[in-house]
This record gives sequence, C-alpha cells and structure tokens, in this order.
Amino acid sequence: MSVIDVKKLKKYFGKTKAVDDISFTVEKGEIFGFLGPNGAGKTTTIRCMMDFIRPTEGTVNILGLDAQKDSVELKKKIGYLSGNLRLYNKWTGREHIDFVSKLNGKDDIAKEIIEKFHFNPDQKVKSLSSGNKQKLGIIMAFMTNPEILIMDEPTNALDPLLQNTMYELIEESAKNGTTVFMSSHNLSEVDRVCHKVGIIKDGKMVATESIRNLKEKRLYTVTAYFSDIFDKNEFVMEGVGITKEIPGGLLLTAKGDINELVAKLSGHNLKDLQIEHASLEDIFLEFYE
Amino acid sequence: MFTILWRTIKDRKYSLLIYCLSALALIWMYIALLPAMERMADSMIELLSGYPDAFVSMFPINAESFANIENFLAIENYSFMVPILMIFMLTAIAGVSLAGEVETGTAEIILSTPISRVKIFFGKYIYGIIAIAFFSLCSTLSVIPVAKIYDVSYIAANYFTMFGMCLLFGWITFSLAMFLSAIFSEKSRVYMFLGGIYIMMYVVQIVSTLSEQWSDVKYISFFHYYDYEAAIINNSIGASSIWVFGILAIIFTVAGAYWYNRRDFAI
Repeated sequence: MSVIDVKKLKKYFGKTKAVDDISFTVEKGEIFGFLGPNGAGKTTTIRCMMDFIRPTEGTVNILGLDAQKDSVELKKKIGYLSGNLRLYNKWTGREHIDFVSKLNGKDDIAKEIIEKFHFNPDQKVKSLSSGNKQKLGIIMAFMTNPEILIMDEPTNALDPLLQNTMYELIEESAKNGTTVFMSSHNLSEVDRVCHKVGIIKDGKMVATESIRNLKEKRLYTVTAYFSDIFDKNEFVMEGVGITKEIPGGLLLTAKGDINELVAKLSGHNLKDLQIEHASLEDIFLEFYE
Repeated sequence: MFTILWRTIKDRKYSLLIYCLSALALIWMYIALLPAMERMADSMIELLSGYPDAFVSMFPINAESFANIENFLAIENYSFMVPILMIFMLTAIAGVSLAGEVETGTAEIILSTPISRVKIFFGKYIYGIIAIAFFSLCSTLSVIPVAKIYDVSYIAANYFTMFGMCLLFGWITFSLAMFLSAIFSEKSRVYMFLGGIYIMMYVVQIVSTLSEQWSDVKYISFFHYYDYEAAIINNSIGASSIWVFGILAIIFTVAGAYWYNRRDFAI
C-alpha cells in the first residue's frame, strides 16, 4: 500500500483551476520531489495534503487515512515545513519548539537537531535571520521523528553548507523509513536527494517518474564541431532540435532514436563530437515546452 | 486545547492587564469625584437644560443621577465607558486570535499540529471568556473595596447583578467578533465589519428614542438589551437581555466554530 495516495485531486478557486485532476503515489521510505515553477499548483497540493484547504474533488489518503476526515490522527505522524514559513515574532525559538512539542504530546529529538544546525533557540524570532528562521522551521518539522515529512521548498533561504546538512537529514530520515514529500523548483536539489519526481504544470501532473527513469529517457545533448562546411538545415529532422549555433559547430537536442542523426553527422568531417544524456534540467524544460 | 489557551494567556496578559487597570482606574476616579459632582449637580442639570431634547435624551442626567454611587456610575461609567472598552478589547482579542493568525501566516504552525480546528477555536475562545470575566470584575465588583476606602455607601448586590450584565454583554460582543474572525482572513476586515455593526446599532438606539414611530427599531440593537440602569440601580436583569444575549452568543459561537472548521486556509 502506498504511503501517500492522491487520486484525481482538483482544487478550484472560483474559475481558477489551481490543481486540476492530479494523481500520484509515494511509497514508504521514498523521497518524492514535486517539481514545478511558481504558480504550477505545488503549494495548493501540499495544503490539500495537510488539510489546510479542502479539495474541490478527489481524495488524499496518507497512511491509509483520509487527509481530511482523519486529519488530527494523521498530523501526529506528519512533520510539516511551510514554503512561506511564518513564526511568532515575539516568541523565542525554544517557545516555538515547546509549543509544537506540547501539542504533539510525545518525546522529540529537538535537542539533537538544534545541535546539528548550530541553532540558538533562546533568541527571539524577530531578531533571527531568514536562514535561522528556516532552521527553526526545519527543527519543528523533524523534531517529532515523523513517519512522513511534507516540505514545501525546504532549502529556501539556507546557505549551501546548510543545504547539504538538510539533504543529509532528509536522506537519513528516508533510510530510517520516513517517507518524504518535498516540493522544489531547484532541479539540482531534486536530482541529488529524490528517488522519484512528479512534474506539475498549470495544475496538471505532466509526469511522475523515478529520477533514474527520467534520466534514462532517451534525451541527448549533442555537440558537434565540423572541419568541413555544413548546413544546419541538414539536421532538421524528427526528434532533433537545434539548440544553438556555436563557432564551427552545432548544439543539438535529440529525442528517441539517434541513429539517423549519427548517420548524418558521420557524413561530415568532424573535429569533435560529444553525445551526453540530457541533464534533469533539460528533461524538465522538455516537459515545459 | 489548554496548551493553546495557556499560550494565548501568556501572549496577551499585558493587554488584558492594561484594560483591567483602566477599568479599575475609572471606578476609582468616579468614586473619588462623587462628592464634588454632588455639589455641582444643580449647575450641570441647568447646563444640560439648554440643549435640544434629542441630545439630552442621550445623556439622561437629572438630580437623581448624583444621589448615590449606583446612579452616578450608571450615567458615567456603565452607560458608555464600560461597553466601549469591552467592544474595543474583545474585538481586538477576537481579530488577532483567528483572522490575525491567518493574516500573519502563523495559523499554519497550529494547523500542522495534531489538534482539531474546533479545539483551536475554543482554545482562543476560552481566553476571551476569561478576559470578559476579569474586565467585568474590575468594572463592577472593584467598586466595593474602593467605595470602602472613600467611605461611600453602596449596595453590594447591585454590583453582582451588574457583573452579570457585563458578562452577558461581553459574551455576545466576543461571540460576534469571533464569528467574523472565523470568516475573514484579515483582522482589519473584522474590525471594519464590527465597527459598522456597532455604529449602526448605536444610531438605531438613538433613533428609537427620537420618535414613537421608530421606537421598535431598538430591538435590533444590542444596546437596548444592555440595560445597565436596571442592573446597577434596580438590581435586576431583564429576561429579554438574558435570552437575546444568551441565544445570539450561542448561535454566533457555534456558527464561528463551524465555519472555522470548514474553511480553507490559503495562507
């Protein structure tokens, strides 16, 4: 049974279709990256999962429970990090941590994470930098040792070093059986930590694939330098796109069978040829064309 | 729920203290002023007699008004100051508690914890009830020790009745404010709506005294049921005050909790 099972989820705000009929599943221990640009529907989906907003249609099941009807029971098992983290300015970090701890009513590992992030919990939130506020949000999400982590752009405002600490924490949690659902528009982040990715565009899910499968999609970047005269129109063929002309050569994107392209290239005197699997970024952009 | 209540008490203790001390200071001031006012009663009544009847009807001052502390406080404190302070205090509490948390985004912190929305609502609601109780206590029963200090005679039972009237008025005020706060996502809209409602009710109350033809419109005003004179002077609370305030407070509370439980939080 999937840990997270979203079926035909729709959320409309008046005539605006924020999320339009999306479905996906996330398995236990998986790190699921939810990719899409701003306004694609990532946060709306997360808010439906957290029962902050109610779906227009469709269901969200987490750990076999209904995200709406069993919301209280589920939140005992979910750690949540908002993408737009807002804290009580007059409280200290410790007051936030104690408040969340009391409402959760179970032992926590806040101390351990505070040390990991070198966070000073006795400072008032209003005097914290945005990075430190984000650290506090991370501590509040992880401190209850949740079975599921739902995070909306978790590395927002963190410097590269802390981003690495965060990735390690996510990976460690997943190894311990925690299922992670995280939205992002940082492709290298998703590439680094996620096992599976869902790509959302204009409220619709355009792809749900494992990172490995996605990368194994036959999408290539071809860089060719010619010793002889060439005509770029020769390479106008199905599945091949001319990305740009470079001095003495061409940068091409090829999709599917590349034999025809290679045959065409071999008819030329080549100075250099480089054929690479496309990066996640190229694949992502392909979905957004 | 008690974690939320306790946290709310901690966060708002100073503002509640300021309101309570203001209520106490007003009582102190009026009791201290009573002897001087008794001496000036005749000239004040003469001054008011020069104003139009409609204006005077808003300030029902006569020779009786200064005859004892109950009459004096009825005119000076319970007619205007206490309800206005209560409206300000309770509107602010309600506005910040629900709509304010949505506006600032901090509602997400509570909503992501394993506590039902109904418990969140009532955690905040109970704080408001505590605030009403403390403020009412300072506005009414504090008269007893202060009057003793100034050696002013008083009727203790009337202050307990006035305490009940303040609780009722506070309850309806707060329930209405919490209902609006559960609906809106910005506290300024709560304040704007409540301000409009109370101004309308006040105008209706005045209009009802101007003409026999319009006298029935008073029934849509809370100020009609807030019968402070009956409570502080006659030691009684009318059944209509209890029923109207009680039933409306329950309706607004249930509707507010229901709405808060059903609404979207698109923070």
